[in-house]
Amino acid sequence: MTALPSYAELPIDPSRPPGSAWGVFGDDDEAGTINLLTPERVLRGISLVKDGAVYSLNWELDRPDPPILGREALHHTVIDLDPGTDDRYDGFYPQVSSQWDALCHMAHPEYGFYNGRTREQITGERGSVNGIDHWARSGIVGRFVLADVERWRRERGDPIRQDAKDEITVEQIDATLASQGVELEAGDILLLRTGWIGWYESASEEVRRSLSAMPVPGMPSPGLSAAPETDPWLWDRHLAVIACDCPALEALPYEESVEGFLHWRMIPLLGLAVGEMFVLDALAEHCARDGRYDGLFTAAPLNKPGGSGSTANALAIK
Amino acid sequence: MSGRPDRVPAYAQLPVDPSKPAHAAWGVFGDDDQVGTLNLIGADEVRDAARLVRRGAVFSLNWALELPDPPILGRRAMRHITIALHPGTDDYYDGFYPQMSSQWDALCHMPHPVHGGYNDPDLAPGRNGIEHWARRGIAGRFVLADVARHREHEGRGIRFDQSDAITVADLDATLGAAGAKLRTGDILLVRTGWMAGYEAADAATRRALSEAGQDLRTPGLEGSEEMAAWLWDQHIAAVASDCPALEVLPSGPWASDDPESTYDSYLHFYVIALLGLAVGEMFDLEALARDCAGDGVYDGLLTAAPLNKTGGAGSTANAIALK
Repeated sequence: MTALPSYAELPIDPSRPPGSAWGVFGDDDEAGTINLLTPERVLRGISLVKDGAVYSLNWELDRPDPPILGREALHHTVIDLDPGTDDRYDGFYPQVSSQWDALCHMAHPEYGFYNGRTREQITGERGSVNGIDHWARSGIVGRFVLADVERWRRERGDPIRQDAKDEITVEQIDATLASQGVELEAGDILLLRTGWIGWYESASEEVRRSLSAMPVPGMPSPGLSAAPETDPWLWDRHLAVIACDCPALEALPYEESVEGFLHWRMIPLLGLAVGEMFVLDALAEHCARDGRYDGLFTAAPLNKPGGSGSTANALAIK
Repeated sequence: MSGRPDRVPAYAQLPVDPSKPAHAAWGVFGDDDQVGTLNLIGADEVRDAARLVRRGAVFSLNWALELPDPPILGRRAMRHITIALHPGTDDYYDGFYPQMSSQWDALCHMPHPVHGGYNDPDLAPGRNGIEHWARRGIAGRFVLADVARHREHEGRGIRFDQSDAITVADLDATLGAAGAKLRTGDILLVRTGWMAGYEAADAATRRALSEAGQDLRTPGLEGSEEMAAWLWDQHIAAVASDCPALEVLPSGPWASDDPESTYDSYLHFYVIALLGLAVGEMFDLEALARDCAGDGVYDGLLTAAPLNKTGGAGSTANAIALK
């Protein structure tokens, strides 16, 4: 792949929205930054498998319980085959637990969907654009780097507040990575740990219910800052993916404006692959133990033509 | 206690404890084990499998969720509801069968009608769900046995719409011709060519396959104790194929007027209930098989992350092969 433009060089021509990567991967592209996962980057991830330790990054499908952000609990029906059982889900939101946002999940309020696609082109059926099927067909495989911001903040006496809009800045991520002695490379899959899932697991039923009762723009929770410096930071590292253990990658509740809501910029404008509510605690413990914060990441999203998202279906291997 | 034993017994040595059913692997990985043969993949096997990845080529093994269309074996099509956000979309599924397309059978999917489920004679509620595999993930060496291609070469091509039983001899010959040797903890991928045949079939043919219900005719592994013994004696961790039920169809008690007569010829009872073998079905092996035929390399790394549904009877495959 030829050198990518820097954020300052975006858009690649004046007919595209400001700050957008439209056309960088071709006008027909519907995969966004997943294009950066070349065979070389797959091999880079493979080269980091030293222990053969496998971590599932997938929270239980029934977490959070009760669901958050206005989604509902899936209804699980076990069917008696006599002998044996089959099963079926109704009201199953692929984004209810550990999950991917497809590029059709979020549009810019003025410019629309990634690479100029429109709402009318998103039917959810075959032929639907910017769907999760593009990532399902390619798979998501490469080098992960874990940024354990929760640990870094805790060790410097400033623990992340899990029940507040605690905004993690790009400076904090840089400092975390530096303290871990790991550097980002183009095409990386950045895993951002806030500690939110661990906190949620230990929260009382009453607290969980109160979180569920706060629909979009969401209950207070930590996450990436929506400040303007986040966009160039994300793009100029040429990340293929950013995934986190908090509900929405960015801190909640978001402000309903282009300036206040990172999703309206990073997904439709940059075509960035975003993962949310990935379970990172066991992986983070291993990384802290051996001091190695990178390894192989693989994920196979649900192959649903026109899907708005998917369960995470992700593993990290060290 | 649960986990991998120092030495894995041969099929002829099963059961390891006379209180267990004949030729059951119950207790091999511990009496409380709910994981089964996936215990045979240890860290060394994962590391060795990663070393097989030379080119960085990635193959998704997951068929489109809505294939087969219309669904087969009595399942129904899911409904996909796209919800408008301001601005954007969310979605949900109704009538979603995790086993409708490329999929894993959890160990609770198929107990034996006489002996019960894997390590579970009393069929205790909540045992052997898919979450046991989801929590550990599946990563290991795959070996592709492209039986469809091998049989074609031999002038005995497999018809996708016939009950063509693939035998132990077919598997041995296919692996032998490919120079591929199975090792403990491997994930065996068996290509029958069913999916290629289905993809090429017209709408009327697909409808007829759907309407056949349990009388659906497909190629697949022979339903016999000999096949079960062979699968166990390779000490593989999982077996997955591109056909609807791993084994040849029709089979099983639902496809017979005399259900009891099928107990000894239904591979699912042997491998899932008695042996605890991880079984995958309708894996899309087409692109991978073309690649393997091209470079003559039939192994690599497979990873899969089943849906983490407590008590789930199965999962979408969520599988990737790397070479």
